[in-house]
Formats: sequence, structure tokens, C-alpha cells
Amino acid sequence: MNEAVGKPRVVNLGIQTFYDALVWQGVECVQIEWTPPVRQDEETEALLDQYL
Amino acid sequence: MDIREKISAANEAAVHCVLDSDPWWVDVQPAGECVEGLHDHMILHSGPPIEYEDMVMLHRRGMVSAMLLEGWAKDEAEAVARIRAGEVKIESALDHNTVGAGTGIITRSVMMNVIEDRTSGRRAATFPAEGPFQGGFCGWGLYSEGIAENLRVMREELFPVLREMLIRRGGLAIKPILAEGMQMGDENHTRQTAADLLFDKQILPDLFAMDLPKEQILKVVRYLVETPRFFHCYGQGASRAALLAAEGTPYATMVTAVCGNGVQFGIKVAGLPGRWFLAPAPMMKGRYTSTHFTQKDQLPWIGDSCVVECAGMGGFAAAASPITCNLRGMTLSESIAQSREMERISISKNPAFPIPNLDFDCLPVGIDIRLVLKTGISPAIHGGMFNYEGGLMGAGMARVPMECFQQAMKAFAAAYPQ
Repeated sequence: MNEAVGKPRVVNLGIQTFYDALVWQGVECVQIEWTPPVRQDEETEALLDQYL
Repeated sequence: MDIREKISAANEAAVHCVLDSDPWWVDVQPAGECVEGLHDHMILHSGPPIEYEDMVMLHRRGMVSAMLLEGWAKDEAEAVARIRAGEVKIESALDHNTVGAGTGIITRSVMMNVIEDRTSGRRAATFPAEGPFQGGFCGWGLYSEGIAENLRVMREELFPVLREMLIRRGGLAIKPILAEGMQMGDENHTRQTAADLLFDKQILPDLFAMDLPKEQILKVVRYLVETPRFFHCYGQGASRAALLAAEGTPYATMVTAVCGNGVQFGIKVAGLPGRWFLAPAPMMKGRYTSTHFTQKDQLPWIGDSCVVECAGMGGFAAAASPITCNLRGMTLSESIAQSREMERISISKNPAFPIPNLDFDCLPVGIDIRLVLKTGISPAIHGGMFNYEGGLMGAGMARVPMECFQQAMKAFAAAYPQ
């Protein structure tokens, strides 16, 4: 790691295992729960827009 | 109110049918007297409706077993001929006020436990495990002289005693046993170890207080304590009675039934009563009881017992029972994560079920078809694995097919246009 940059500070989006692995290695890390948006078929997507 | 507000209010009303339910074991009766619409020459089965010719072997065998048990045929050949001639009516158990666990074979003479939701007045009937035969006739669709004799003993010797005991004590409240059991490691689908003991603790003093010969009482007691997961049928009955109260709530997108018949899987939705939304039955993932089993032996999902998931137990209660989840290799944190995941597709939380592993947060309840589609998270359902030849081969979990929810959403929009 470049001394000038210093220790990494990480924001992990999504997969919890990556966060766990970084914490286990002593890396400062923040976990944000995130999953890619789910895509349904067009008709279902349109209905969800109207009904949810 | 716009459509979203109507749905929101309807779902609140529907989920309160579960939250406010007060299920009691109130009676034991032959199915012909307590299952609404179950007539002579009618056989009920688990899962969505299916024709005899399309059934898996377990269900076909169950149909024949039912014909022989009821005396509607003298042998298998005659039974099959009469079924094919349309002399018996075959219907889904979940189109009646009952639940078909396993193969779910129910005919008029089978003794059933009657569960009444004292809040709504709705009654559901569920068959008990058959003592030494466990799944036996109803659950596994089996028939033999031994099974027929055991059913006779249950009908004529065991259940009359239980009925008298029950009437004397004025019924038995189910929810406190479910709730305490879940604080003791049950999730009330695959595991009822704690609930069985709590149930026995409630009724044994009343049984021993009866003015009957000691041997007669001991016969009943042995049946209760030697039947594993005896309390399972009460959890299913309590769930079904509550969900029956929710069925027919206009605008509600809450799921009231999920089930399979080994071929297809089906769901029902509160705002669309009487309708089924189908997809191919999923396979379970879990652990087999023998290394001789492989996935080739395994039947796709069969059974209605995941009615308990619709009432916020089983797969939704994974956090309550890491010991059940560990059977398929899950850790405590993964068990907790499963319940947390189910929160994302649930309408509410059940204040009756605070769970130590959730820091006494309460379990999620009420599957919303819209949230399932929006999140892509399918309900996790626990259960037993059946093999094609019949009998249990393990326990595990499956996910309800997304296709069921897509169909339901489209049907909902057609029924409730903006």
C-alpha cells in the first residue's frame, strides 16, 4: 500500500462476505446493504409501478 | 383512496386476521363432519387441484388407499377403474377448510382435530400423525391392514377419550404453545420438539384425572408421547383458521396458501378467493437421512404444510430455530438473516412471537405478492423431503416459484383495475 495514501478505508456495497473478509484483515470498512434492482417482465414492472 | 391506499388498508385487515387470531383446539370429529363440503365418495389431496392421470405415484397410491379404506373398492384394480370412471370426486384440501400435509389424503371417516379461531369464529380441521405409522394413510397415502386397524383404534379408542378430555377442559389454546415453543428452539414447521412437550404438559393432568381404566388412559398417553411432531397438525390448523378469515378480503395482496402436489406448485391470494396461481413444483434443498439417497430419488414439493409460513412460522421463523437450519448446514447468523430477509416481503411483524435470537424483535408475517416481485425475494418454506417411492428422505427448504406471484399480480390487476 502506498504510504502517501495511507490505510484504505472501504465502503462495501452489497455482498456481505466481502465486508467480512476486509474486517477480518483489519481494514476499516462500512457495509451498505444493496442488491441490484430486480427486473420482472415489462407488464409486471408496469403493474408494480401502479400498485406498489 | 387511491389503489395503493386501498391495498394497504386491505393488507392491514388481512394480516390482522393472523395477528389477532386466537386458535383453540375445540373438538375431534370425523372429517365428514368437520370438513366443509367433504361429501361421500370424495377424496381430498394436497397441493393445487390435479387430475388423477397427472398425479405423481404418491398421490395415485393415496387415491387407491382412500378407496380401499372407505370400502368404495375391494382391490386396487377396482379402485383405479372406479376413479377413472369418475365415480369419486377428487379435490384440493386447500379448497376446503383443511390442510393436506404430505400427500394430504382425506376422506370422510378420518378423524380430524378441529381448531377454532375464537376471534373470527372460523374453524379448520387437520389430521393428526398416525402414531407408529406417522405419515401413514393421510400424510404418505399408504394403506395396509395395519394402517386401517390403527385408524380404527384412533377413531374408536383414542379420539373419544381425547374428545371427552377436551370438552371437560373447555378446549386448549394453541397460540401460547406456538409462541413459547418458538422461544425454545422450534420454528413450528420442521421442528415441534418444544411444542410437543408443552402440549403434553397441558393435557396430561386432565387425561390422568379422567374416570377411566388406567390402561385405556395409558394407551392414549403412549400415542401422544410416542408420535414425533404430534403438535404439527395444531400449528397448521391454527394457521389455516386464521388465513381462512383473511380469504376474500377485497384488495388484499396477502398470500393465504402456498402448496405443492409434486407436479405443480400453487399460491392463493386473499383478494382473489378461489383462484390458484401455478408454476412447476420446486425441489427442496437440504439434508438426506441416508447417503444412499440422491436428488434423482427426490420428489418436487408435495404438501400443504407450508400454510404455517403464510402465518409467519417455518421458514419465516428460521431465527427461532437455528438447530433446524443447521440440519442443512446453516449457521446461527444465516438463520437470523433468513428471517430478516423474509421481513422484506412481509406486511407486518407478529407481536406474539418475540424471538431471543432477534434480540426479542418479532417474526415477520403476511407475504405481500407485490413485495416478493419488487424485491425478487421468494418466500422460504421449510419441510420434509419425500422420495418418489414414498416416505421421508430428509428435511430442507425450497423457495416458492416467482412465476406464481407474477401470475397473481396480473390477475389482481385484472380484478382490481385502477
